[in-house]
Amino acid sequence: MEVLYKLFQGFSTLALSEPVVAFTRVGLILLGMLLVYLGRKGVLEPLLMIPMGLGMATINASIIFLPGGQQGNLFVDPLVTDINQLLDILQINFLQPIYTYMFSNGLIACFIFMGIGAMIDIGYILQRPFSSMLMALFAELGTFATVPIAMAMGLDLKEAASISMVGGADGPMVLYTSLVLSKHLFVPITVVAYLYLGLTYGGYPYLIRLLVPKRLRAIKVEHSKPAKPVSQGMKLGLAVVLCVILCFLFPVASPLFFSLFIGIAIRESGLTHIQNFIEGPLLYGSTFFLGSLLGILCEAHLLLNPKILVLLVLGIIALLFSGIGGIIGGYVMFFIKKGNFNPAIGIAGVSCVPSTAKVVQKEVSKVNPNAIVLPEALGANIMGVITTAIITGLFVTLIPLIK
Amino acid sequence: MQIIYNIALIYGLTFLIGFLVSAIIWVLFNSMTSKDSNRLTTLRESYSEMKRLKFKNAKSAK
Repeated sequence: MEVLYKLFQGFSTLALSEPVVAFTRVGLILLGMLLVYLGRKGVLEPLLMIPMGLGMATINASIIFLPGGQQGNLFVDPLVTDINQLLDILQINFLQPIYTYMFSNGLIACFIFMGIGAMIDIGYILQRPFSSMLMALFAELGTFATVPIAMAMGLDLKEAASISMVGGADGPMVLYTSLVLSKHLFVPITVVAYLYLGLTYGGYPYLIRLLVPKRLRAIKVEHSKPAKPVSQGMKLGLAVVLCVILCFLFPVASPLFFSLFIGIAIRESGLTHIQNFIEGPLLYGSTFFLGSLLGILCEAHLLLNPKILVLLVLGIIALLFSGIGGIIGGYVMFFIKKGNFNPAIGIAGVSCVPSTAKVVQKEVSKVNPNAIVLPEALGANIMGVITTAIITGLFVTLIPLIK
Repeated sequence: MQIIYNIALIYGLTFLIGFLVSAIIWVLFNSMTSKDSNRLTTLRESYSEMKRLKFKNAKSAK
Protein backbone atom coordinates (compact mmCIF):
# COMPACT_ATOMS: atom_id res chain seq x y z
CA MET A 1 0.00 0.00 0.00
CA GLU A 2 2.85 2.33 0.89
CA VAL A 3 4.43 1.69 -2.53
CA LEU A 4 1.18 2.68 -4.20
CA TYR A 5 1.04 5.82 -2.04
CA LYS A 6 4.57 6.73 -3.12
CA LEU A 7 3.91 5.86 -6.74
CA PHE A 8 0.69 7.84 -7.20
CA GLN A 9 1.46 10.83 -5.02
CA GLY A 10 -1.18 13.04 -6.60
CA PHE A 11 -3.91 10.73 -5.29
CA SER A 12 -2.20 9.91 -1.99
CA THR A 13 -1.70 13.56 -1.08
CA LEU A 14 -5.39 14.08 -1.83
CA ALA A 15 -6.41 11.11 0.35
CA LEU A 16 -4.14 12.17 3.23
CA SER A 17 -5.09 15.87 3.15
CA GLU A 18 -7.61 17.48 5.46
CA PRO A 19 -11.12 17.37 3.91
CA VAL A 20 -11.16 21.15 3.32
CA VAL A 21 -7.90 21.00 1.36
CA ALA A 22 -8.98 17.90 -0.57
CA PHE A 23 -12.34 19.41 -1.55
CA THR A 24 -10.68 22.71 -2.50
CA ARG A 25 -8.18 20.86 -4.71
CA VAL A 26 -10.93 18.97 -6.52
CA GLY A 27 -13.00 22.18 -6.81
CA LEU A 28 -10.03 24.08 -8.28
CA ILE A 29 -9.31 21.28 -10.78
CA LEU A 30 -12.92 21.51 -11.97
CA LEU A 31 -12.79 25.32 -12.01
CA GLY A 32 -9.59 25.19 -14.07
CA MET A 33 -11.26 22.94 -16.62
CA LEU A 34 -14.27 25.26 -16.71
CA LEU A 35 -12.00 28.27 -17.36
CA VAL A 36 -10.37 26.49 -20.30
CA TYR A 37 -13.82 25.67 -21.68
CA LEU A 38 -15.12 29.23 -21.22
CA GLY A 39 -11.93 30.65 -22.70
CA ARG A 40 -12.26 28.39 -25.73
CA LYS A 41 -15.91 29.42 -26.14
CA GLY A 42 -14.91 33.10 -26.02
CA VAL A 43 -17.02 33.85 -22.93
CA LEU A 44 -13.84 34.75 -21.00
CA GLU A 45 -10.59 36.23 -22.34
CA PRO A 46 -8.96 33.15 -23.95
CA LEU A 47 -5.41 34.54 -23.99
CA LEU A 48 -5.34 34.54 -20.21
CA MET A 49 -7.95 31.97 -19.27
CA ILE A 50 -6.68 28.96 -21.21
CA PRO A 51 -3.16 28.90 -19.69
CA MET A 52 -4.57 29.97 -16.32
CA GLY A 53 -7.26 27.28 -16.28
CA LEU A 54 -4.85 24.55 -17.32
CA GLY A 55 -2.30 25.75 -14.76
CA MET A 56 -4.95 25.73 -12.02
CA ALA A 57 -6.10 22.21 -12.86
CA THR A 58 -2.54 20.90 -13.22
CA ILE A 59 -1.09 22.30 -10.01
CA ASN A 60 -3.88 20.88 -7.87
CA ALA A 61 -3.42 17.47 -9.45
CA SER A 62 0.36 17.43 -9.03
CA ILE A 63 0.91 17.84 -5.31
CA ILE A 64 3.70 15.60 -4.06
CA PHE A 65 5.41 14.75 -0.78
CA LEU A 66 8.54 16.85 -0.32
CA PRO A 67 11.49 15.76 1.87
CA GLY A 68 10.33 16.22 5.45
CA GLY A 69 6.83 14.93 4.76
CA GLN A 70 5.40 18.29 3.71
CA GLN A 71 3.18 18.60 0.68
CA GLY A 72 4.34 20.78 -2.20
CA ASN A 73 4.94 20.95 -5.94
CA LEU A 74 7.71 21.19 -8.52
CA PHE A 75 6.43 24.37 -10.15
CA VAL A 76 6.80 27.37 -7.83
CA ASP A 77 6.99 28.34 -4.15
CA PRO A 78 5.84 31.94 -3.78
CA LEU A 79 6.21 32.01 0.00
CA VAL A 80 9.94 31.37 0.25
CA THR A 81 11.86 34.25 1.83
CA ASP A 82 15.19 32.78 2.92
CA ILE A 83 17.88 33.53 0.30
CA ASN A 84 19.65 30.16 0.56
CA GLN A 85 16.39 28.28 0.34
CA LEU A 86 15.41 30.43 -2.65
CA LEU A 87 18.67 29.57 -4.44
CA ASP A 88 17.94 25.87 -3.94
CA ILE A 89 14.36 26.21 -5.11
CA LEU A 90 15.42 28.19 -8.21
CA GLN A 91 17.25 25.08 -9.34
CA ILE A 92 14.34 22.73 -8.67
CA ASN A 93 11.02 24.47 -9.42
CA PHE A 94 10.82 25.16 -13.13
CA LEU A 95 8.61 28.26 -12.97
CA GLN A 96 10.43 29.73 -9.94
CA PRO A 97 12.85 31.84 -12.07
CA ILE A 98 9.92 33.46 -13.89
CA TYR A 99 8.08 34.09 -10.59
CA THR A 100 11.14 35.49 -8.80
CA TYR A 101 12.70 37.52 -11.60
CA MET A 102 9.62 38.62 -13.52
CA PHE A 103 6.43 38.32 -11.51
CA SER A 104 7.13 39.34 -7.91
CA ASN A 105 9.05 42.46 -8.97
CA GLY A 106 6.41 43.61 -11.45
CA LEU A 107 8.59 43.17 -14.57
CA ILE A 108 5.96 41.07 -16.33
CA ALA A 109 3.39 43.82 -15.63
CA CYS A 110 5.75 46.38 -17.19
CA PHE A 111 6.25 44.17 -20.28
CA ILE A 112 2.48 43.94 -20.70
CA PHE A 113 2.23 47.71 -20.34
CA MET A 114 4.88 48.20 -23.04
CA GLY A 115 2.84 45.94 -25.32
CA ILE A 116 -0.34 47.89 -24.59
CA GLY A 117 1.51 51.16 -25.28
CA ALA A 118 2.75 49.85 -28.63
CA MET A 119 -0.79 48.83 -29.58
CA ILE A 120 -2.75 51.95 -28.67
CA ASP A 121 -3.29 55.04 -30.76
CA ILE A 122 -3.42 58.16 -28.58
CA GLY A 123 -4.81 60.27 -31.44
CA TYR A 124 -8.34 60.44 -30.04
CA ILE A 125 -7.34 61.46 -26.50
CA LEU A 126 -5.27 64.29 -27.97
CA GLN A 127 -8.29 65.62 -29.82
CA ARG A 128 -10.84 65.20 -27.02
CA PRO A 129 -8.96 64.78 -23.75
CA PHE A 130 -11.65 66.12 -21.41
CA SER A 131 -14.50 63.84 -22.46
CA SER A 132 -12.25 60.76 -22.38
CA MET A 133 -10.91 61.74 -18.96
CA LEU A 134 -14.39 62.41 -17.53
CA MET A 135 -15.60 58.92 -18.38
CA ALA A 136 -12.39 57.35 -17.11
CA LEU A 137 -12.72 59.20 -13.79
CA PHE A 138 -16.31 58.08 -13.31
CA ALA A 139 -15.27 54.54 -14.16
CA GLU A 140 -13.00 54.56 -11.10
CA LEU A 141 -16.03 54.65 -8.79
CA GLY A 142 -15.49 51.00 -7.84
CA THR A 143 -11.88 51.62 -6.82
CA PHE A 144 -12.94 54.17 -4.23
CA ALA A 145 -16.32 52.77 -3.16
CA THR A 146 -14.78 49.38 -2.35
CA VAL A 147 -12.27 50.74 0.20
CA PRO A 148 -14.79 51.46 3.00
CA ILE A 149 -16.74 48.28 2.15
CA ALA A 150 -13.54 46.24 2.44
CA MET A 151 -12.76 47.83 5.78
CA ALA A 152 -16.26 47.06 7.01
CA MET A 153 -15.58 43.43 6.01
CA GLY A 154 -12.53 43.26 8.27
CA LEU A 155 -9.55 44.24 6.08
CA ASP A 156 -7.11 46.92 7.16
CA LEU A 157 -6.69 50.08 5.06
CA LYS A 158 -3.67 48.87 3.05
CA GLU A 159 -5.33 45.54 2.23
CA ALA A 160 -8.57 47.35 1.38
CA ALA A 161 -6.77 49.73 -0.98
CA SER A 162 -4.96 46.84 -2.67
CA ILE A 163 -8.09 44.81 -3.42
CA SER A 164 -10.00 47.97 -4.41
CA MET A 165 -7.55 48.50 -7.27
CA VAL A 166 -9.39 45.65 -9.02
CA GLY A 167 -11.99 48.35 -9.78
CA GLY A 168 -9.47 49.99 -12.09
CA ALA A 169 -9.43 46.70 -14.05
CA ASP A 170 -5.76 47.07 -14.78
CA GLY A 171 -3.86 43.92 -13.85
CA PRO A 172 -0.36 45.44 -13.72
CA MET A 173 -1.59 48.21 -11.38
CA VAL A 174 -3.25 45.73 -8.99
CA LEU A 175 -0.08 43.66 -9.00
CA TYR A 176 2.04 46.72 -8.26
CA THR A 177 -0.22 48.17 -5.53
CA SER A 178 -0.57 44.88 -3.67
CA LEU A 179 3.22 44.36 -3.89
CA VAL A 180 3.81 47.74 -2.24
CA LEU A 181 0.90 47.92 0.21
CA SER A 182 0.14 44.33 1.27
CA LYS A 183 2.75 41.88 0.16
CA HIS A 184 1.26 39.07 2.30
CA LEU A 185 -1.92 39.17 0.16
CA PHE A 186 -0.08 39.71 -3.13
CA VAL A 187 -0.75 36.25 -4.53
CA PRO A 188 -4.51 35.97 -3.73
CA ILE A 189 -5.21 39.57 -4.76
CA THR A 190 -3.40 39.16 -8.09
CA VAL A 191 -5.16 35.86 -8.78
CA VAL A 192 -8.57 37.38 -7.95
CA ALA A 193 -7.81 40.45 -10.07
CA TYR A 194 -6.82 38.55 -13.22
CA LEU A 195 -9.66 36.06 -12.77
CA TYR A 196 -12.14 38.91 -12.72
CA LEU A 197 -10.47 40.82 -15.56
CA GLY A 198 -11.39 37.85 -17.70
CA LEU A 199 -14.94 38.21 -16.41
CA THR A 200 -15.32 41.80 -17.67
CA TYR A 201 -15.36 40.31 -21.15
CA GLY A 202 -18.31 38.11 -20.23
CA GLY A 203 -20.12 40.22 -17.61
CA TYR A 204 -20.04 43.81 -18.87
CA PRO A 205 -22.26 43.23 -21.93
CA TYR A 206 -25.10 42.33 -19.53
CA LEU A 207 -24.44 45.45 -17.46
CA ILE A 208 -24.62 47.60 -20.62
CA ARG A 209 -27.89 45.96 -21.69
CA LEU A 210 -29.29 46.44 -18.17
CA LEU A 211 -28.38 50.10 -17.74
CA VAL A 212 -28.54 51.54 -21.27
CA PRO A 213 -31.82 51.15 -23.19
CA LYS A 214 -31.66 49.98 -26.82
CA ARG A 215 -32.66 53.43 -28.13
CA LEU A 216 -29.64 55.07 -26.48
CA ARG A 217 -27.29 52.20 -27.30
CA ALA A 218 -28.01 52.79 -30.99
CA ILE A 219 -26.85 56.42 -30.95
CA LYS A 220 -24.19 57.26 -33.51
CA VAL A 221 -21.84 59.98 -32.27
CA GLU A 222 -21.58 62.92 -34.68
CA HIS A 223 -18.84 65.48 -34.12
CA SER A 224 -19.72 69.09 -35.00
CA LYS A 225 -16.09 70.06 -35.73
CA PRO A 226 -13.93 67.91 -37.99
CA ALA A 227 -11.05 66.27 -36.16
CA LYS A 228 -7.69 68.01 -36.53
CA PRO A 229 -5.08 65.83 -38.19
CA VAL A 230 -2.62 64.42 -35.67
CA SER A 231 0.85 63.64 -36.95
CA GLN A 232 3.07 60.91 -35.51
CA GLY A 233 5.54 63.59 -34.43
CA MET A 234 2.84 65.30 -32.32
CA LYS A 235 1.87 62.03 -30.67
CA LEU A 236 5.51 61.27 -29.91
CA GLY A 237 6.13 64.74 -28.49
CA LEU A 238 3.05 64.58 -26.30
CA ALA A 239 3.88 61.07 -25.10
CA VAL A 240 7.34 62.22 -24.00
CA VAL A 241 6.02 65.34 -22.24
CA LEU A 242 3.18 63.43 -20.54
CA CYS A 243 5.52 60.68 -19.37
CA VAL A 244 7.89 63.20 -17.79
CA ILE A 245 5.05 65.15 -16.13
CA LEU A 246 3.36 62.02 -14.73
CA CYS A 247 6.71 60.70 -13.45
CA PHE A 248 7.33 64.05 -11.77
CA LEU A 249 3.90 63.82 -10.13
CA PHE A 250 4.13 60.14 -9.09
CA PRO A 251 7.67 58.75 -9.06
CA VAL A 252 6.34 55.63 -7.29
CA ALA A 253 4.39 54.63 -10.39
CA SER A 254 7.11 55.75 -12.82
CA PRO A 255 8.09 52.20 -13.96
CA LEU A 256 4.53 51.74 -15.18
CA PHE A 257 4.35 55.19 -16.80
CA PHE A 258 7.70 54.61 -18.49
CA SER A 259 6.60 51.21 -19.78
CA LEU A 260 3.33 52.55 -21.21
CA PHE A 261 4.85 55.63 -22.83
CA ILE A 262 7.90 53.87 -24.23
CA GLY A 263 5.48 51.58 -26.06
CA ILE A 264 3.64 54.63 -27.43
CA ALA A 265 6.94 56.37 -28.30
CA ILE A 266 8.21 53.35 -30.23
CA ARG A 267 4.94 53.08 -32.14
CA GLU A 268 4.98 56.76 -33.07
CA SER A 269 8.69 56.81 -33.93
CA GLY A 270 8.12 54.35 -36.73
CA LEU A 271 10.51 51.79 -35.24
CA THR A 272 8.52 48.99 -36.81
CA HIS A 273 10.87 46.14 -35.94
CA ILE A 274 10.86 47.00 -32.24
CA GLN A 275 7.12 47.71 -32.30
CA ASN A 276 6.46 44.31 -33.87
CA PHE A 277 8.60 42.68 -31.20
CA ILE A 278 6.91 44.52 -28.31
CA GLU A 279 3.31 44.07 -29.45
CA GLY A 280 3.95 40.53 -30.65
CA PRO A 281 6.36 38.17 -28.92
CA LEU A 282 6.90 40.33 -25.81
CA LEU A 283 3.22 41.04 -25.11
CA TYR A 284 1.91 37.59 -26.00
CA GLY A 285 4.83 35.84 -24.31
CA SER A 286 4.31 37.84 -21.11
CA THR A 287 0.54 37.25 -21.17
CA PHE A 288 1.12 33.54 -21.66
CA PHE A 289 3.59 33.26 -18.76
CA LEU A 290 1.40 35.49 -16.59
CA GLY A 291 -1.64 33.32 -17.25
CA SER A 292 0.28 30.08 -16.66
CA LEU A 293 1.87 31.40 -13.48
CA LEU A 294 -1.45 32.71 -12.14
CA GLY A 295 -2.98 29.29 -12.69
CA ILE A 296 -0.04 27.60 -10.97
CA LEU A 297 -0.41 29.99 -8.02
CA CYS A 298 -4.00 28.78 -7.53
CA GLU A 299 -2.81 25.88 -5.40
CA ALA A 300 -5.31 24.88 -2.71
CA HIS A 301 -2.85 25.40 0.19
CA LEU A 302 -2.08 28.93 -1.01
CA LEU A 303 -5.66 29.94 -1.67
CA LEU A 304 -7.00 28.59 1.61
CA ASN A 305 -6.39 31.97 3.16
CA PRO A 306 -9.36 32.96 5.37
CA LYS A 307 -9.43 36.30 3.54
CA ILE A 308 -9.79 34.79 0.06
CA LEU A 309 -13.59 34.64 0.16
CA VAL A 310 -13.71 38.29 1.24
CA LEU A 311 -11.32 39.18 -1.61
CA LEU A 312 -13.48 37.31 -4.12
CA VAL A 313 -16.59 39.23 -3.02
CA LEU A 314 -14.76 42.58 -2.96
CA GLY A 315 -13.24 42.04 -6.42
CA ILE A 316 -16.64 41.61 -7.98
CA ILE A 317 -18.07 44.59 -6.03
CA ALA A 318 -15.19 46.78 -7.28
CA LEU A 319 -15.70 45.82 -10.93
CA LEU A 320 -19.47 46.16 -10.68
CA PHE A 321 -19.26 49.66 -9.18
CA SER A 322 -16.66 50.69 -11.76
CA GLY A 323 -18.90 49.50 -14.60
CA ILE A 324 -21.87 51.39 -13.13
CA GLY A 325 -19.67 54.47 -12.59
CA GLY A 326 -18.49 54.31 -16.20
CA ILE A 327 -22.05 54.24 -17.48
CA ILE A 328 -22.94 57.17 -15.19
CA GLY A 329 -19.99 58.98 -16.85
CA GLY A 330 -21.46 58.06 -20.24
CA TYR A 331 -24.82 59.56 -19.21
CA VAL A 332 -23.09 62.73 -17.96
CA MET A 333 -21.47 63.07 -21.41
CA PHE A 334 -24.86 62.33 -23.01
CA PHE A 335 -26.38 65.30 -21.16
CA ILE A 336 -23.37 67.58 -21.74
CA LYS A 337 -23.48 66.84 -25.49
CA LYS A 338 -27.29 67.24 -25.49
CA GLY A 339 -28.04 63.72 -26.64
CA ASN A 340 -25.25 63.41 -29.19
CA PHE A 341 -23.34 60.75 -27.24
CA ASN A 342 -23.76 57.05 -26.70
CA PRO A 343 -23.87 56.43 -22.91
CA ALA A 344 -22.65 52.84 -23.36
CA ILE A 345 -19.20 54.24 -24.25
CA GLY A 346 -18.76 55.20 -20.58
CA ILE A 347 -18.07 51.62 -19.52
CA ALA A 348 -14.94 51.69 -21.73
CA GLY A 349 -13.48 54.02 -19.09
CA VAL A 350 -12.82 50.83 -17.12
CA SER A 351 -9.29 50.46 -18.34
CA CYS A 352 -9.14 46.83 -19.39
CA VAL A 353 -7.44 47.71 -22.71
CA PRO A 354 -8.83 46.90 -25.23
CA SER A 355 -11.46 44.42 -23.90
CA THR A 356 -13.99 46.97 -22.60
CA ALA A 357 -13.74 49.10 -25.77
CA LYS A 358 -14.35 45.99 -27.85
CA VAL A 359 -17.30 45.01 -25.63
CA VAL A 360 -18.88 48.47 -26.14
CA GLN A 361 -18.46 48.36 -29.92
CA LYS A 362 -19.89 44.83 -30.03
CA GLU A 363 -22.96 45.80 -27.98
CA VAL A 364 -23.56 48.99 -30.00
CA SER A 365 -23.16 47.14 -33.32
CA LYS A 366 -25.82 44.64 -32.25
CA VAL A 367 -28.48 47.39 -32.13
CA ASN A 368 -27.06 49.69 -34.82
CA PRO A 369 -24.53 48.14 -37.21
CA ASN A 370 -23.73 51.60 -38.67
CA ALA A 371 -22.65 53.14 -35.38
CA ILE A 372 -18.88 53.16 -34.95
CA VAL A 373 -17.98 54.16 -31.39
CA LEU A 374 -14.60 52.43 -31.17
CA PRO A 375 -12.48 55.65 -31.35
CA GLU A 376 -14.44 57.23 -28.46
CA ALA A 377 -14.37 53.97 -26.50
CA LEU A 378 -10.62 53.55 -26.99
CA GLY A 379 -10.10 57.17 -25.92
CA ALA A 380 -11.91 56.49 -22.63
CA ASN A 381 -10.04 53.18 -22.35
CA ILE A 382 -6.60 54.77 -22.68
CA MET A 383 -7.50 57.57 -20.28
CA GLY A 384 -8.62 54.80 -17.93
CA VAL A 385 -5.08 53.44 -17.95
CA ILE A 386 -3.73 56.90 -17.11
CA THR A 387 -6.28 57.46 -14.28
CA THR A 388 -5.57 54.02 -12.81
CA ALA A 389 -1.86 54.84 -12.86
CA ILE A 390 -2.62 58.16 -11.13
CA ILE A 391 -4.66 56.34 -8.46
CA THR A 392 -1.87 53.79 -8.00
CA GLY A 393 0.50 56.67 -7.35
CA LEU A 394 -1.96 58.31 -4.94
CA PHE A 395 -2.71 55.08 -3.04
CA VAL A 396 0.91 54.01 -2.74
CA THR A 397 1.87 57.47 -1.46
CA LEU A 398 -1.13 58.52 0.64
CA ILE A 399 -2.59 55.30 2.09
CA PRO A 400 0.43 54.62 4.38
CA LEU A 401 0.05 58.18 5.73
CA ILE A 402 -3.61 57.74 6.74
CA LYS A 403 -4.01 56.52 10.31
CA MET B 1 -16.73 57.94 8.78
CA GLN B 2 -13.25 59.46 8.73
CA ILE B 3 -12.12 56.86 6.21
CA ILE B 4 -15.00 57.66 3.84
CA TYR B 5 -14.02 61.32 4.07
CA ASN B 6 -10.36 60.53 3.34
CA ILE B 7 -11.23 58.28 0.40
CA ALA B 8 -13.63 60.88 -1.02
CA LEU B 9 -10.80 63.40 -0.72
CA ILE B 10 -8.44 61.13 -2.69
CA TYR B 11 -11.17 60.66 -5.33
CA GLY B 12 -11.52 64.45 -5.54
CA LEU B 13 -7.75 64.75 -5.90
CA THR B 14 -7.84 62.17 -8.71
CA PHE B 15 -10.45 64.28 -10.53
CA LEU B 16 -8.24 67.34 -10.08
CA ILE B 17 -5.08 65.65 -11.34
CA GLY B 18 -7.03 63.97 -14.15
CA PHE B 19 -8.34 67.27 -15.44
CA LEU B 20 -4.92 68.85 -15.00
CA VAL B 21 -3.44 66.13 -17.22
CA SER B 22 -6.27 66.69 -19.75
CA ALA B 23 -5.61 70.43 -19.69
CA ILE B 24 -1.91 69.83 -20.34
CA ILE B 25 -2.77 67.56 -23.28
CA TRP B 26 -5.27 70.12 -24.60
CA VAL B 27 -2.84 73.06 -24.34
CA LEU B 28 0.05 71.12 -25.92
CA PHE B 29 -2.09 69.73 -28.72
CA ASN B 30 -3.71 73.07 -29.52
CA SER B 31 -0.41 74.90 -29.48
CA MET B 32 0.99 72.31 -31.88
CA THR B 33 -1.95 72.42 -34.27
CA SER B 34 -2.87 76.11 -34.05
CA LYS B 35 -2.44 78.37 -37.07
CA ASP B 36 0.33 80.21 -35.21
CA SER B 37 2.67 77.36 -35.98
CA ASN B 38 2.10 78.15 -39.66
CA ARG B 39 3.05 81.75 -38.94
CA LEU B 40 6.63 80.73 -38.48
CA THR B 41 6.67 79.22 -41.97
CA THR B 42 4.90 82.28 -43.37
CA LEU B 43 7.41 84.57 -41.70
CA ARG B 44 10.29 82.47 -42.97
CA GLU B 45 8.83 82.52 -46.47
CA SER B 46 8.27 86.28 -46.45
CA TYR B 47 11.83 86.76 -45.17
CA SER B 48 13.21 84.74 -48.10
CA GLU B 49 10.92 86.67 -50.43
CA MET B 50 12.19 89.96 -48.99
CA LYS B 51 15.79 88.81 -49.43
CA ARG B 52 15.09 87.75 -53.00
CA LEU B 53 13.51 91.15 -53.84
CA LYS B 54 16.36 93.00 -52.14
CA PHE B 55 18.86 91.05 -54.18
CA LYS B 56 16.84 91.68 -57.36
CA ASN B 57 16.59 95.43 -56.62
CA ALA B 58 20.29 95.64 -55.87
CA LYS B 59 21.03 93.90 -59.14
CA SER B 60 18.72 96.20 -61.16
CA ALA B 61 20.21 99.29 -59.45
CA LYS B 62 23.62 98.30 -60.75
